[in-house]
Amino acid sequence: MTETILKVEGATRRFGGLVAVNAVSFEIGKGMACGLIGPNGAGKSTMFDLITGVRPVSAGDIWFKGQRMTNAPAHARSPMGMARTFQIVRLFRGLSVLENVMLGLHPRFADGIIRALLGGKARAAQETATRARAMEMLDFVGLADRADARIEEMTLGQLRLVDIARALALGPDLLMLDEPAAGLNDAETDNLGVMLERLRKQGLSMLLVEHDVDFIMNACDRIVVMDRGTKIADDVPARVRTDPKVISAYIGQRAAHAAH
Amino acid sequence: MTANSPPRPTLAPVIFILVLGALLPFLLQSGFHMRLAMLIWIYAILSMGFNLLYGYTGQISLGQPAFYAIGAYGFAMLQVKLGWGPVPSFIGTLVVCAVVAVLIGLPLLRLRTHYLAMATLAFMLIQHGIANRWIGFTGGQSGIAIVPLQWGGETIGRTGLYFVVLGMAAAVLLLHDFLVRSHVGRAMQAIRDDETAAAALGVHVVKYKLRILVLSAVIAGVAGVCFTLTSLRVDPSLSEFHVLVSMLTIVVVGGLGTRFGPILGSVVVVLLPQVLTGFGELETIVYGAFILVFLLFLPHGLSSLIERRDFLAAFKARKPAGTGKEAAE
Ligand SMILES: Nc1ncnc2c1ncn2[C@@H]1O[C@H](COP(=O)(O)OP(=O)(O)O)[C@@H](O)[C@H]1O
Ligand SMILES: [Mg+2]
Repeated sequence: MTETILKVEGATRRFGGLVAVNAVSFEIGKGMACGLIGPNGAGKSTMFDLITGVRPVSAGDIWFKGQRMTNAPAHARSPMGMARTFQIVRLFRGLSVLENVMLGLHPRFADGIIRALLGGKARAAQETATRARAMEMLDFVGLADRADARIEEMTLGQLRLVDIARALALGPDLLMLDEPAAGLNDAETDNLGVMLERLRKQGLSMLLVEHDVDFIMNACDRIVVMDRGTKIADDVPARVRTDPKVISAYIGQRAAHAAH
Repeated sequence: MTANSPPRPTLAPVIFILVLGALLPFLLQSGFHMRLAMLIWIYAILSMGFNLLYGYTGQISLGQPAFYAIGAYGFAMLQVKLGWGPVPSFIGTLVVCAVVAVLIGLPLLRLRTHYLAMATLAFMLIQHGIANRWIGFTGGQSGIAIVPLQWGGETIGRTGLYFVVLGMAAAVLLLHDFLVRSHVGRAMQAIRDDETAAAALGVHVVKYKLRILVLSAVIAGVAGVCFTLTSLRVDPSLSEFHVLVSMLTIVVVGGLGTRFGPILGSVVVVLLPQVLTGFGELETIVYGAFILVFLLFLPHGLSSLIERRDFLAAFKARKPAGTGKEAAE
């Protein structure tokens, strides 16, 4: 296998008595697209939170690019090269579309208010470069003409794309998308698939959570399957598809749905 | 070649406001009007600090009047008790504000918003108690008087004093405007709108909150110093709820988290009572009714009339929009 970019080692997260993520381990190789699937409540989003430091692990370790990130706060992890989106889009409603994407480049600025005040030409140049880069990102997702729009004027499909543009802005080494196709119509989903394919061709490593099984089987080199906090499979798409444990987990979910 | 980015906000309105401010002494005749003009600037300074903290960063701190009072008292006491000159007293006072803000901010910033509001309110009451009761230290109810500002051995007149206050307001306005239009302002608004998402993008949330708390305290201190400069005495009345209520009214009437809301709001809050004196005993009621009507029809404040984007959004918000709902899901 190629160089490892992300290594999750026995990651565990408890919420009171509930073990949302239970001693899960897996690795993502550089340039690989890894899928993370599982029924609702399996712990996929929580796994994202643990990797990005939005929530601390109860036990276990997170390694990124060979460095132990377990105790690093969230704001220190994204400048290291990991970027994510959230299952429920979390854009800043007081900022325009462009400004939201510009925030993705925040770590490029020298830290602190006094440094900003004394920044002079260098800071002004950074601001200009940031705008240009953010416009480039919006162009990539096809929303350059909506740069000045407000968040509440956008459709959910567009918001997901803005979120992805913001995550891509800093040029991450690992892109993590939490159900990017949720709520999109067929055309938008196809469009998203094309975009992810392009990113994958560029060699970007990805971790993808998605409910649409066909979508994820196409988009990924490998699939990790979780059920009730535990990893139940970790293999290439073709074998995961026929894995009896995976099938029963999904059938269990259908049965639960049917019972409702 | 990518599309051009939308135009950036310019400094033009800031310059317009300052030119207007510089022309005022030549337009106003009476000393009373000049006093009102200075009061507008003083409230504008205080409210700009609060706007950065609450309007842009979303941190409800009610301690601003206390920092305002520390600024006013500090400036007077350093001169009267320690015999410092006005400039060292000014700097010393701002340092005191900053240090007190750090001491309060360190534990407070770990608390959730409502606790921050309550704790800073408690801080304001403590400060008020000291000003009122520790008579040997603060002069109690009668307060402390200072000598007027001098320049080259002569007392600076009312117009000169106005320009000193205007200069302070200009500095704070430029600072306020620079910050909100820069990456710092974006980070502040990100913290206000969604702390978790902000942190996930690399914004050091706690550090920024503390910085802005300290900055807003220093700005409140500047307003306090201006108060002492113009009234030549300090007494406990300046830290009363009156200042707090005025400040809250200003930011809401002017428009929370807007570039010029604090200035527009200050004009209204200082001038409105003057216009309403004709109502005699009913003044307070008419004033309250006016603010209510205002909030009903201009919920985004006066700024929404000027800052075009807000204005359009306010209109669009009236139409039933489906898209926003889905996004909020
Ligand atoms: N903040 C929280 N507090 C308590 N329980 C939580 C919290 N977040 C998630 N959970 C629980 O953890 C489990 C995993 O949730 P989640 O990671 O969102 O699953 P998935 O993304 O796979 O649907 C669920 O049972 C959920 O109810
Ligand atoms: Mg989820």
